[in-house]
Amino acid sequence: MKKLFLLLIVLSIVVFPQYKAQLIINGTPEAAVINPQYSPDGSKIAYSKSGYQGLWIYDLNKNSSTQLTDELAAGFGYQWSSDSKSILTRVAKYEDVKRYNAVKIFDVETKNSNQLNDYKTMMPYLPQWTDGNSKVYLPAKGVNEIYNSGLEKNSTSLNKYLVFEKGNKLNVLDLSTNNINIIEPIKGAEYINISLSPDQTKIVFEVMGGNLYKINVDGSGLTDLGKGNRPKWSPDSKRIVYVITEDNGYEITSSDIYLINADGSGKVNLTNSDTIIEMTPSFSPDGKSILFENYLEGSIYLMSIE
Amino acid sequence: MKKSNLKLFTIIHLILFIFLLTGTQSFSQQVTGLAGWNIYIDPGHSRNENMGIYNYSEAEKNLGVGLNLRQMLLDWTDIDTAYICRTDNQVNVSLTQRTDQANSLGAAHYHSIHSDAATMGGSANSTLIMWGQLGIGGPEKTPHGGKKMSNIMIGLLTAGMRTNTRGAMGDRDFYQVAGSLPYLHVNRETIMASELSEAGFHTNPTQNQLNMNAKWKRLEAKTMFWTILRYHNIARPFVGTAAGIVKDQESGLAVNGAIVSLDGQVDTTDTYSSLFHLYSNDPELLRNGFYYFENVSPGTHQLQVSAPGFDPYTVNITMQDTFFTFKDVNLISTIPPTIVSTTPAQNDSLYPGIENVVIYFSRPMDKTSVASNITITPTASYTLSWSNNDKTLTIKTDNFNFVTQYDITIGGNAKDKYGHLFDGDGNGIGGDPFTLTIMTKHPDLTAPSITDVYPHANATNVEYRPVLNIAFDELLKTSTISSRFKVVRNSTQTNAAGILKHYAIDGRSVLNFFVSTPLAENETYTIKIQAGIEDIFGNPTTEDHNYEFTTSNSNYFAETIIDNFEAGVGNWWQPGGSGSTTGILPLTTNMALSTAILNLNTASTKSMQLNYDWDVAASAWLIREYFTPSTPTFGTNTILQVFMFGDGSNNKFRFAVRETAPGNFEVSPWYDINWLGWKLISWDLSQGQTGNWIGNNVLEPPLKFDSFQLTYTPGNKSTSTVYFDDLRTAFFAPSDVEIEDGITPTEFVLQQNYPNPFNPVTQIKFSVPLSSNVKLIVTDILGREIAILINDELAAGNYNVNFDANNLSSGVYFYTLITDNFKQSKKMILMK
Repeated sequence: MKKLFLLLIVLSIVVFPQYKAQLIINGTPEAAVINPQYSPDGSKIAYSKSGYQGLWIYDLNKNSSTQLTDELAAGFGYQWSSDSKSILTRVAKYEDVKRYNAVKIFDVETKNSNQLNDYKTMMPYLPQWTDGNSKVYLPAKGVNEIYNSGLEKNSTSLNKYLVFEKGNKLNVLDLSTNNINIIEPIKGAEYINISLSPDQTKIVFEVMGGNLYKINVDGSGLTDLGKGNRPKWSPDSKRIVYVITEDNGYEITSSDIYLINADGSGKVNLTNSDTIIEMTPSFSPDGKSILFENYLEGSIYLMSIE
Repeated sequence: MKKSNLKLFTIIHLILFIFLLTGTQSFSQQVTGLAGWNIYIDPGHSRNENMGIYNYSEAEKNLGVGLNLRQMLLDWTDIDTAYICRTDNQVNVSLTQRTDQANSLGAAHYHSIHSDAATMGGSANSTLIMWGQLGIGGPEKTPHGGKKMSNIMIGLLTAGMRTNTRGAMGDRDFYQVAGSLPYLHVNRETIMASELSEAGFHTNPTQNQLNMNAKWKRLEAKTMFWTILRYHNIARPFVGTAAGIVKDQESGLAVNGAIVSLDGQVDTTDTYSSLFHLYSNDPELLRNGFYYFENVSPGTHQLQVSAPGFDPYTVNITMQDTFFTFKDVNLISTIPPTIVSTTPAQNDSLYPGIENVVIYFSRPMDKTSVASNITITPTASYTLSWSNNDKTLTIKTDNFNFVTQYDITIGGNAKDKYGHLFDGDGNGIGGDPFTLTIMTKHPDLTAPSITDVYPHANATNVEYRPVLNIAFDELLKTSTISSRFKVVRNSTQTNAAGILKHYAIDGRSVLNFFVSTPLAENETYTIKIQAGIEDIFGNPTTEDHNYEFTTSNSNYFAETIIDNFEAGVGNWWQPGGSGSTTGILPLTTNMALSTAILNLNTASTKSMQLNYDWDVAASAWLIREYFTPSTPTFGTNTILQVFMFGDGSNNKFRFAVRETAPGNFEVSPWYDINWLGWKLISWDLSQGQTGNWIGNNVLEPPLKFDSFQLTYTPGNKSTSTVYFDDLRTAFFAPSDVEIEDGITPTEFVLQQNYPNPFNPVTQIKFSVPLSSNVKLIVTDILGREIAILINDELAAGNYNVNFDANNLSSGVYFYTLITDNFKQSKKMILMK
């Protein structure tokens, strides 16, 4: 068994009963690695560990990991900068029973961090890059906040919109006019795991207690994509990768990775496995592979979809 | 400001401050100290998932508790906010959605609200709280806080539920599943302090009827609210909350529609029309008797309770400032006492001196007033004795003559214990007499005779561990039996070991012989009943009776225990709870736990008793005695079995199973209950024989046990009792315990199973150094008995036995070797 295990590490290709995948970061149930995301240039993978505590960078050229931080919550809802040099996230700390949150930017090379605001007890939103990474937008219960990131403006990656949920409505902020277009795709619904397509034309989101949907940024073209969780766009904005999980109220009992076209066609189960719980998929920058976590094993794999 | 003015100003403010402290100290005052903190509330499950007993689901209960808790926090405190993952029973919120939303919102704390289910032993009821734990015996996950919250909550929640507790513990310690991350998803995936509470069992009948009540959910929420305050070291405001359960003192049943008033507030306990019609078609089935008041002012108040058919009740209660002020109330019925039944029945007969007159009253009686109001014509001296909480009167007939008519009258001035006049004619108005007319019989001069024997004379291929059964046509004198009964192995003339039991059923006797050491395989035995056994009148049998039978090399082995009743009968509905049940008298048809009539073949200590009373005026009759758990499931390659204690009524019994598709059922053919005492009833599913009920007469696995069913045939006895024990799937086969070698071991050893993990068969080896009674059982992670692999006397040796887990789901199981001198358990893992 030991020999077999070593062999798998060397070859890094694991043959699951229904598909092949490459073992990228070898975690264990005791030290699970989770929530991986490629850097935009494809040279690195950021990931977190159990409970989304801490952030690590796996350098694909050096085949080694370095830790950016061990702060609480750092590994949930983080974002790479477009130049792959920085990561934006919200960190947390506890003093007695109270939780305090702050927005930080980590330099991937130096590991230095830049804290953008004071620790606050209430921070119900995740920060987003804007204005070519030169600024950080943080929605808030009251007035939304904007911070200078301290990074130089990357004029080649200026986003046109920012999307977030507020008051059970989708807020689409047009950065060219600073106007917010409020969309209510499904009356009274709450929205989570909202993701704007790279071409800035479409939004995919989960309805709390309901299905996965796509809608255009202007509020038109609502498409019910069926049951699904944790959606992520393909780099060409044509497809969405996500999971369909089943649970018994206590534990996840099954999960498979699905691919679907933005118009709801071409739905395909990529994994179709009974015994493996695949979670948190995202595309590689070239759109040819899917990065995901093996929930039970605690490792990160890459699956080709070519 | 002048100094004198400053002094006056200070005094005024001091007075105002004191006034604020005292004068406005009602429960609804604003609690401060939670600013800068928030919580994500997760009412576990969705829609009506995790259905509990009586069609009320855990998901519905959890939602009610969650909404109440959120409302308390938002209305009464300065908390930043209280999030909740669902506000209705329509949405279907997955686990990942719950934790993703909580993580995205950056909540400071996560609390998941649940209740528990028992697949076996539905009378179980206790609280449990689990925090995220990094491995069995490991520390709390980061960030901390869930453990502290759990340790506070467990005391408050348990005291609020007024039940037992399994405690607050790490989730890995509870589930005993290896791994170093928290076991529960809500503990594993949340980036905040977290825990999950289980407030009792929704499979427990009493608990789940309370769960249906809106204010009961508020009570549960309030224990959580107080927990949160204590977690923050915030003093609890004046509690001012009173609650309790209104019951009928005599029956112990909760009272529906009781009107309770306290300190100017009124609450009415749930009724069929206000609530229970949502979950049952039977107006009498459901009840909780729960009342609840908040914002009761400090001091002593009069609690007044009234309910139709009960005497009014008043009591003073002093409000506690430490916790709920619980006051349960027992109401006394206004219905006058009457006669339920008599033995013998009206115009029936008895043997004087042997049988007594027994009168069953509906309520506990005032013994003195009854004694002074009895007349017997013609006059005969008699003695009275009372039992059953003074509800049963026995009149001894030692001095009654043979072949005489007696009129026994209880006058209308007899009273019950509470002063209500006796209602002899049963019209609901007290003050009238009742007369029982009986005849005394001729003296009995006939010896008893045998009417049935199992195994039948010259039977072959008999299991080597049978329950022997010999029925007689009349009652025997117990003292004359044991010395005249034995089971002899023909080849050696040695006696078989076993326990002989004598049961009296409806004026007849049955002997059950429970073999304690397996009979030798392929051997002939003789049941020897010698002359001299007497009936209760002293008439002896005059001939010896011998019944030969031959054993096989096989026996019935339990494959899966569906219910052996050792954990109670909480997994079973009362007969009237099923809409399929018809043609019964509901007040006298019921199901209960028995510790008196037991199947000693499996060393049982509990069984299920079913008292039936058919409505002979009905046109159709069916009792569906429903088993609630959805597990275990089984295929058609097995035998469904139950040990049933028959009443010889010739009414009918059958099994019912449920198929996967909703509403699909199949039943066994009917079995005539023509036997007395214990008998093993088997439905060999592999033969495909079915009866007719709901279904297509084809067994389509996987199957789940649904119910025992009984029906009545006009002319047969309509009132009686049967018992059930050791419901199981089984197979008939040679013993699969193999002796490994001829070496005699020197000590008891239980080896680790191989392979392990396994799928689906594994081998368990053990050693027994001397001849012993050996039991090898398999239990699941919650300690529920799944299978008995061996229950036999084994000679010294090294053994191996195969365990086939084909019908079980993946998970951790334990196997335990039990002998008189040794007990050891080991863990095994089934991975399918």
